[in-house]
Amino acid sequence: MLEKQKIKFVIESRLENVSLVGISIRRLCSSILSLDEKESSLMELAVVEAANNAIVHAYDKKAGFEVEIILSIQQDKIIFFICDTGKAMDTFPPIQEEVDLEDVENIPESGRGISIIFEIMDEVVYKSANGKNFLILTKLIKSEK
Amino acid sequence: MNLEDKKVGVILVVIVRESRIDARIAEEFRDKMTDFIRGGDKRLLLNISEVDFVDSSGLGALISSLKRMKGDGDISICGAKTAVKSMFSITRMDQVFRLYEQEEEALNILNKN
Repeated sequence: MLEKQKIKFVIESRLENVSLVGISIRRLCSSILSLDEKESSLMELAVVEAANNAIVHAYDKKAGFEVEIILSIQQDKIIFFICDTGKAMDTFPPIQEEVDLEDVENIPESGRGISIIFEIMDEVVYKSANGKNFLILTKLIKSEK
Repeated sequence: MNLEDKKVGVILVVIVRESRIDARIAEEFRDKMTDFIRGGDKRLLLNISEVDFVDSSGLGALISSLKRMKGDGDISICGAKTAVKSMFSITRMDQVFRLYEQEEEALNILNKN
């Protein structure tokens, strides 16, 4: 795997810190990778959802822990690693089934995060090793000629 | 969070003076929207022209607010930027909330109905 560039963000497990990473990711995708506004914003969204999940589920919203977000730019893809040392997921939560959108009362108010990530990314992998959890998101991009 | 509101005809326009509706402020946003709805305003137009980003928590707060209408009212949205429109599109919430480009256009239509 030929890695062209890599950047690592480390934030304390507070939800208010996630926007710092989100905005940075959007800017990096726009300026370095020349992704358009929509594509850059979707990268931000996927990473924000993943970071939120780490804080809320891995760390039970407790501050004082670290969430690492690593962006690896490769020839034909971007890979995001969202890492925590909290509670591991046994399995991905079920992707929300399509609901009847006319039945407003039964539209879920939460639990969309992982569905959104799967919708945006080309590959989503979760691994745990030695007390560290990794959510690995891959997006294929057009190669430079 | 910073919300401004104004009544235009029968519509309560709520202007979101924040750049992000995300997990950090979603609960507060939901509570403030609930206050508007409990105050008797059942037809809301949410102006999000200053909002650069909405995540699933922000969306959840919107859905929660809509549910509080209990079928007797609606929440429309105007001014959504590209990033926010993408969020509504991939979650299909653009089929639940009417999205208008501009506040004026929205008010013209909503006040007629």
